Amino acid sequence: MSGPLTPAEGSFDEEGRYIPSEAERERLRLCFDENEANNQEDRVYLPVLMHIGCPDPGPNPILNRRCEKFFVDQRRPIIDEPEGPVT
Amino acid sequence: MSDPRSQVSEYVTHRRLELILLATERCNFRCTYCYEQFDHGRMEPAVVEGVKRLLSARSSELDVLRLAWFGGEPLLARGVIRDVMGHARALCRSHPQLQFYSDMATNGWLLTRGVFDELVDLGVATFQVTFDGPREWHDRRRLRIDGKGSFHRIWANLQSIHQSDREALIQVRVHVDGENYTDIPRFLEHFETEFGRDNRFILFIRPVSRLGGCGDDQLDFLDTDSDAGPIADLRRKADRCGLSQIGDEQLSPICYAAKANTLVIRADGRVNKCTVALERPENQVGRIDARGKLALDQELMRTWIRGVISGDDEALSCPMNDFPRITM
Repeated sequence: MSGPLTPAEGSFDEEGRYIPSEAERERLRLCFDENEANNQEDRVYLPVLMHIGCPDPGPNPILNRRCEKFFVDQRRPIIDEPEGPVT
Repeated sequence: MSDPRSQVSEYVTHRRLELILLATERCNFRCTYCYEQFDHGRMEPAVVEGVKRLLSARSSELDVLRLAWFGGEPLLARGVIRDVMGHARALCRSHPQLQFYSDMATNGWLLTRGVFDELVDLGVATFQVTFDGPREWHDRRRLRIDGKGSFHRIWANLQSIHQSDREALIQVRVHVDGENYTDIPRFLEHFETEFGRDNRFILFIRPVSRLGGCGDDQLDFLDTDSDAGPIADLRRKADRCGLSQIGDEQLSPICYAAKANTLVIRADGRVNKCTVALERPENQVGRIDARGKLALDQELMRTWIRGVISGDDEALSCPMNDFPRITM
């Protein structure tokens, strides 16, 4: 990657998914789960050891708190979260 | 704050989708610093259909879906919000892995208790409502389309919401500039008296920004970089009052526009990346059709998300910086 103005190299499909180039996949150290039941080859996962900090954005502390759990183990879907915001 | 580059792969994952939806681009306010042009009305039915179909197509692979309602004033198009939110909730029932979040930036004029309760029931969990300080300042800046003030009704709506038992977060954004900052402490005291014991209300003290509005030249903007400046003083005052507030440290250093999995859907079906540079040619990255298919300009999109790949802090914090200029 030559500098901050260098565009990304991948492409977007017609449902808005970004398909990284091979070099980008390596750069981002993305994990691809070969055993995924639906076998979507281009499905992109988070790095398993994602650094936990303030992962999402925005002026939304509820989202941040709820998402932190998701980011700790991104392979485990959260289905036991209570509905509604955590205050 | 951790190094944002350690998190960037989250912003390309297919398991996450964030759509910022402009339910309408009309507004019943004419705030003196607003940068919008109000050219497009309610989101067109074909666009609403396209958004719903896109959500349907992506829902089985998503872990996180966020719908952010923006405008214009989104509450002028409640039918659009009802339609899309109802669809999203139905998808959540079919796909229990899907974590669904929704928030809304509204001027608060139409946010009566009944509307608030309905929206919370539909899944809107966060509302941002803005004041420009006490009534005398607010009513000079946040004007209705007929030029009249708006403080009294917005405040009354929040009082009414205070009586609701619905769980949601109400972010009260307080705009501060060089003219009104000496009167903001009075607003904070009023806020503490009214809402200080309701943990659903949280303050977000922000300097007014230059965003390209026609009134920018008339506004007295504050230097926001100093810890000893008026903004920092006001935040300390809010702390002393025991008020919950959002601090800069809670804001992501990565702009939503830099992310590969965040898109802005305009009322007329245009797809943008940024909600400020709405009409800039660089921001016209594509369209959504009624089938939910996105026709995206690959080169523009690659440029918007360049920071995700390069890790460059500037490109992550504002991809419009140094964006190669395009002339129409």
